[in-house]
Amino acid sequence: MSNEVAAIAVDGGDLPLGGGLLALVRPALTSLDRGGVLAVLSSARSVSDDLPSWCRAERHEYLGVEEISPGVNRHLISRSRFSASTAHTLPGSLSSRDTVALEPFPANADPATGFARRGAHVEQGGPGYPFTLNERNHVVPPEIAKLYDQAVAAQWEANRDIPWSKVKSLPAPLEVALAQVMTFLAENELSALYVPSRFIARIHPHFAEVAMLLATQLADEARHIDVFLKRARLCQSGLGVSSVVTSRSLLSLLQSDDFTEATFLLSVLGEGTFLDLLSFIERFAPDEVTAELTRRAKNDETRHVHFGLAHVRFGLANDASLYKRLEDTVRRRSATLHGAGGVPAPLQDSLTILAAGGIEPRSVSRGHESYRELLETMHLSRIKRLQHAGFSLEQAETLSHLHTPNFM
Amino acid sequence: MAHVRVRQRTGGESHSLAMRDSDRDFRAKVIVRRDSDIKSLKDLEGKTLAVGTADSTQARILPLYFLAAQGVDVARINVMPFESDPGKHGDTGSSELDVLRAVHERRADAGTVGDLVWVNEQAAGHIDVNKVEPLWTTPGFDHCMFDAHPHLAAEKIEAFKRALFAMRWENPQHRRLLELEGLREWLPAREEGYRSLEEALALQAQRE
Repeated sequence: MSNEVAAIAVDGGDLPLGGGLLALVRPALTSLDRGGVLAVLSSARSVSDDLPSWCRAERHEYLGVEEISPGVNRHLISRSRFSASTAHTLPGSLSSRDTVALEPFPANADPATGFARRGAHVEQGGPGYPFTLNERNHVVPPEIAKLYDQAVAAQWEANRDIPWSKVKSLPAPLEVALAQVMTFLAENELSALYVPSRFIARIHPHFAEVAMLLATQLADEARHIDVFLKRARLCQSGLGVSSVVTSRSLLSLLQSDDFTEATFLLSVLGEGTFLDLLSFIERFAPDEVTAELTRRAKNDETRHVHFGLAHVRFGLANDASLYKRLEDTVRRRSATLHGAGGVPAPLQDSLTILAAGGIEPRSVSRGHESYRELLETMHLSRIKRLQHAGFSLEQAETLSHLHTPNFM
Repeated sequence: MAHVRVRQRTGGESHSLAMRDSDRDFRAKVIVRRDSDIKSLKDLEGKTLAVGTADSTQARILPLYFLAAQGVDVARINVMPFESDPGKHGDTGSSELDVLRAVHERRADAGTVGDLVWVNEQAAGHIDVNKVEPLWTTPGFDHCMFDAHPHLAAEKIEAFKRALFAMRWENPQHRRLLELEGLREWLPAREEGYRSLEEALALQAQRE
C-alpha cells in the first residue's frame, strides 16, 4: 500500500466508527474524485476492523492499514465509483448574476436530476421528474439573472410603504369611480397571480431563476391585489362590478397551456397595456394614496413586461415558427371574445369620471377625451412593444387591434 | 446456508450463477458491554451471549463455529438466542438488531452480529459507543448465491446471468431493485468463501 498516495487525510483521534468518525470520513470521501484516496489516522482499536466492514457496506475500496506511530494507524480508502462527488466545487457568490456566471444554464436539462441544483453533484440512478420545460432556448432569456436581482431588490411592503393615513373621503361620484377601477384592477391582478403559477412546476429546476423570477411576480401581484382592494374598501360605496367581458378575457388567459404563449398574452400584451392604464390612474388619482400605490404597482408591472419581452424576444430569435404560433394564439383568443362587447362599461365610465375629477358636464367632456387618448396610447405602445419583441410593424398593428378589450 | 445445502444435495452438480457484491467477505463481530469484564474470548465462558436466529450464518452458526475454533468452550457460554427471523437465513437482520438491543440493555454481556449490521447501525447512530464495543472479528466468509438445478438448460442459465449482469446502479429502474435486494452490482459466483460454513454445518450434523 506504500505506493498509494492519499489526496487528503483526516485525523480521527480515538473516535470509534459509530462515535463520530464517519462525520469526518464521509465528507472527506465525498470531496474526492472517484478512485481518489483518503488517509484516515486513528488510534481507536475497533476502527481497524470496522473501517474495512464499512467500506464493504459502502463499496469504497479499503486499501489497507499501517501503524505510523505506536497505537496510531493510517488506513487508506479509495472512493467508490457508486457515490456522488463534490470535487471541484466553485466558490459561492451573492448575486444571481454571479451565480449564473459560475453555474451556466445547460442547453438541455435532464429530468432525472430532479430538484438538484445545477452544479450539485448528482448521484446516479435517481427517478425521472415530470418537468416539461427542459430546453434553455424555450425557457431562459439571457437577462434572467439581472431581472431576478432587480425584482428582489424592488420588493416593497403594502402596509408600511403606502401613506394610508392620508386617505380622504371624496365626492360620491369619485368614490364610486375609484372603487370600480380598484375592483377591476384587483380582479385582473388575481389572474396575473394564477397564470404564471401554472407553469412554475413545469420549469426544470436547472432553470430555477425563471421560476424564482415568476415567484417575485406572484408576490408582486399578491401585494397589488392587497392594496387595490384596500383602497376600494376605503371608498364609501364598497366594491364595484365584475363584468362578463373581464371574466371571459381572463378565462381565455388562464386556459393558455403553453408557457411562451401565456407569457406573451399576459406580460407583453396584457401587463404591457396595464402600464398605460396605471399611468392614467396615477395621473388622475384623486388623492396621494391612490397615486402612490398605482405608481408602485406600475413599477412592478414594468419588470413583468421586461421579462415577458425578454422571454418572447429570445423565443422568436431561436424559433421563427413562433411568430405564426403567437399570432394564431391572439387570433383564437380574439375569436372567443368576439361579440362580448368592448371595454367593460363600468370601467369606461369610471375612468372618464376619474379623469374629469367630477360630474360637471364640461369636466366629463375633458375626461372622455382623456379616456379616448388612453385607448390610442395603449394601441401605440403595444405596437412599439411588439416591434421590440421582434414583430414587423404590420404584424404588430394587426396583433394590437386583436388584443382583448379587457386590456388584460 | 441454502447454497451449501444445495451443493451437498446435488453432489456438487448444481450451477452457481451469481452473487451480490454484498455477499462477499462477510465477517461476524463479537460485541461486548464496556462495563463487562470480558477482555478476551475465553472470558465469554460463563457469560450470557446473545445470538441470532438458528439459521443465521453471520449472527449464530459461524461466530459460534469460529469461537470454538479459537479454543472457547462454547458449551460453557450461556447462549441467548433470538428466533425472530427463522427461514430467512439471517437475511432480514432483525434478530441481529435484537442481539444489539439485548447487549445495550444489559440483558446480555455480549452478542454476535454480522459486520454489515454492526457498521450500518453505527452509521445510523443507533449504537452507543459508550456502552458497547467490538471484542473480536471473525475471519471472512461468503454468504448467499443464486443456484440452479443441475438439469437447467444452458441457454436459460446464460440468459439469466446476462439479465443480472446487465443491471446498473446508475439506471433508476435497476437501482430501485438493487437497493431492495441490498447490492450495487452482481458478481460472478465463487465457492471458496463457503468452506467455513460447510465445515460448521458438517460439525452441527455430527452433533445432531
